[in-house]
Amino acid sequence: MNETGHRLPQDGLDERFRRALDSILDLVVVERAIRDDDGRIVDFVIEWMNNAPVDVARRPREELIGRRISELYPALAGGELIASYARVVETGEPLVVPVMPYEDVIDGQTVSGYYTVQATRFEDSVLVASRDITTLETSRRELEIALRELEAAQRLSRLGTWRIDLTAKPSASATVSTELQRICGLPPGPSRELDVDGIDRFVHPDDLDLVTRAHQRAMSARHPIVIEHRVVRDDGTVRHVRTYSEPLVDDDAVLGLWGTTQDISDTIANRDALDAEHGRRVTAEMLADVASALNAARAPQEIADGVARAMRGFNDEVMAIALAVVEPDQPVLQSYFGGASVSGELAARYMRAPLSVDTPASRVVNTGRPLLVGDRVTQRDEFPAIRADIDSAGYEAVAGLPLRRASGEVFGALVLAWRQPREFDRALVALLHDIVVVVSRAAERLELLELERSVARSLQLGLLALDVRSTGAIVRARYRAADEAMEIGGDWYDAVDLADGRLAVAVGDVVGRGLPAATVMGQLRAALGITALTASDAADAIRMLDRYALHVPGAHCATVAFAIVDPDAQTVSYATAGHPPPLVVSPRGDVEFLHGGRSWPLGIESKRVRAPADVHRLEPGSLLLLYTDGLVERRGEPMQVGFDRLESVVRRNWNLPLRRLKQAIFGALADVGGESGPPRKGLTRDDIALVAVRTAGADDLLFADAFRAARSEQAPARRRLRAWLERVGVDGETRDALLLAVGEAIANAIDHGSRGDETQVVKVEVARRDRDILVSVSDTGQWQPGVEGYFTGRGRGHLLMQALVDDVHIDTDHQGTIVTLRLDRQRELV
Amino acid sequence: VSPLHELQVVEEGGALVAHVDGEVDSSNAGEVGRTLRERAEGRRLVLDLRDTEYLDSAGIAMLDALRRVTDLRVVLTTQSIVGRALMIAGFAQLVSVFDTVDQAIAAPK
Repeated sequence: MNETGHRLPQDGLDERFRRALDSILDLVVVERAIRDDDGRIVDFVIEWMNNAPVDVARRPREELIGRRISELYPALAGGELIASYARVVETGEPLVVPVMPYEDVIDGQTVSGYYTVQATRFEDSVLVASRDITTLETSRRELEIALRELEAAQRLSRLGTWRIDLTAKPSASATVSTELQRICGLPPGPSRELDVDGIDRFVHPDDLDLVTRAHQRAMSARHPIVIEHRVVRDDGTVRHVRTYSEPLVDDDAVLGLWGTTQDISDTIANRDALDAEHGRRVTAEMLADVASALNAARAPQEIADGVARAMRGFNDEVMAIALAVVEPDQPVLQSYFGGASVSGELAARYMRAPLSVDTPASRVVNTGRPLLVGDRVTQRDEFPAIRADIDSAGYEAVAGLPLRRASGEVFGALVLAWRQPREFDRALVALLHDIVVVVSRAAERLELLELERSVARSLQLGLLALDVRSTGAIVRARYRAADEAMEIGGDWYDAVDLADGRLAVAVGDVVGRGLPAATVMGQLRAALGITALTASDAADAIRMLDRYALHVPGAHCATVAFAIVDPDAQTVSYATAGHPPPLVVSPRGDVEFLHGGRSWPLGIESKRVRAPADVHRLEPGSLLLLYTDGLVERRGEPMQVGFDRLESVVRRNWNLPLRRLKQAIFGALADVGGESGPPRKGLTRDDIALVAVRTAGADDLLFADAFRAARSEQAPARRRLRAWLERVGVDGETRDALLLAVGEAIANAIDHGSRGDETQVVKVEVARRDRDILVSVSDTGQWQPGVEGYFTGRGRGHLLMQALVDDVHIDTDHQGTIVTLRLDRQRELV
Repeated sequence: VSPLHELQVVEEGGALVAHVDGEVDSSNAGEVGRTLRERAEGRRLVLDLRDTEYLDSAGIAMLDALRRVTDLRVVLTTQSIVGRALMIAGFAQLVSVFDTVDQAIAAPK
């Protein structure tokens, strides 16, 4: 670009004009055009400028005059403004730019601002007057933004403003803002006036009275008010609004009202949604509570109580809960009531009700459909058969829902009752459905648990049944679970007749509880039953059992005490593996723990060799006790204390018939409130197994006999007993009375207890005590006095026993029936 | 095995007199009852239980059956266990009980 322009001489301007320009506050600049070779204006050079202080970069005019625009203001180079100046020069048309934003970098500084620029032709120059309007423009822009924000805010907050002018002529008028128009469903425009009737027509008719009175109150009290009401748009949609009204007062005269009206429909919807959300959360928490309560439930009653508790917390109108479950084998509904408000009388009557009786619960079970009855009148109509109970119970609303198994099968019903009539809204019904799912699961789990319990019980009965046919010894055993609910632990026992008249006895303890433990028990017991038949002695049996136990996962660390009783040889061979020592009592009452033959528990790999069996003398009439640690072990107490306690109770009771002895031992060592024994620290936690073996024989204080359950055995048995009675000084009438009473018991045991199976054994045990003689006659049958077939034809037998001795007890358990007779020895003296 | 009982039956004064020695229980009551019934049915039967050491409810049942088909008279020592048993069982009230066989035979019906 070739600069060809020339400078306008300073003195070319009229001095007065120059002074006049100098007095102007705006910046006035004379800029001369610079043309290229083709004569096109490409730039301007500052010829002159007035005394207005500085330019945008605060440069004094001495620095500016004579320099090019494109050089001084780089952002303008080749830009629109220079082109516009060129047009002014060429056409003579003045230029007005009201707001010219300008931003540039001058001497490394960023400058920016807004300018108003006017340019007119002045010879081959432009006379440019510019004013810095940056402050003004910035404010204006800020205000504009603020206004836009306000409008946006109004729109966002749905807040409209209005003003009612009561003094307007010819009638009161209302001015409404854009947003209020929008709220009222009018096409939004700038604020406009409506007549007051025009604004009233948007108020919901039901709320018009409220709104009118509120405004009157605001005016009469000269105080602002806030009301919520509804607005009806022309298209019929309803909006909820909150209106703030403030009276316009001038010298005590109310001129009108102004205020705001906010559309709160969404807020209300949100509030409802929030309430619903809160409700859902409470519901979810309640369901979680119910679920956890029910998961802990061990009986249906606990489920009913859990649901009742949870519902109380959630909705205190629920008064009663019934959990009704169909019994396994019959069309009977068993009901469990939760909530104390069910009367005992009603509860007792509906505890077991046939499914054929039409009640809410049976209806639900029979139809498999939910039942919702909102009031008592309908209830009475629906269930005419139980009208009286409906009235006496006093429940208005009833809801029943089917309990379903995972398979979908209905197995019961959950019934809820309310004192007040009610409508079942969707939320409540949904809640009930959720609850019933939780309850169904819990109840089904209980069913399975009960099934498992009953399987475990059966298994245990099977495992713990004894079938001893030895006539060389009497065997009785007892198992007692650690807690009543779980009924099966890992303790077991067994007794097996060996072919040559010997008897193998074992007691063991496997780790764990329930079915798994029962399974292991069963395996060990079966294994021991077989090894007992082939083992050379007790230690050999344990070695064989150990080899087996290594392959049974649950048998690890199982313990066992094993003994082979040989009544003929009068010995016991025994060994223990990690197990407490057996106890032996001579026929004279000498008590001794058998500490020999000890080794470590089963199922543990070891190179060590187990101890050989120990053999101990066992005179006829001796007692051998095998037991598990639950009998002697107590928390926080050395084992020895337990052993001492066992020894002590055995010393006091050793010659009792085995059933009584067992009772005495359990009473003193295992049960709460036993009749004897030292005070006990806490309850035993473990389960307990005890096996007692008494070899047939007699001594001064005891007589033990066992014989085949054949009628022909009666007389020999009586003779043996008679001989012993005479030997110990019981004779005459007492002897004869006792013999007849015992004879009757023996006859019963043979005829009823053994039912003609002559391989069964009848056992007779007699103990001489300080005050009395105790006799027990036991068999393996399950008969009961008074039960059909027993004593009906021979009631005289029972009568004789009752008359001849002081006490007669007949007890039946899974091991058989025992008749215990007690004869007071004082009678001998009378 | 020695027999439980010994039964001697004789005709005396128009009556059948049976002497039961030993014990009667469910193992032999049936046999004793059958024997006596075969011979004494419809007749006066004097049962001498003074040497009976043992008679249980099965024996009493046997006596009760005989009582229904014979003119049964029982001779016993009331202090004995058999006497006590018959008293307890209420049987002594159902039949005529005598101290001696002669009294039993002679007593009117």
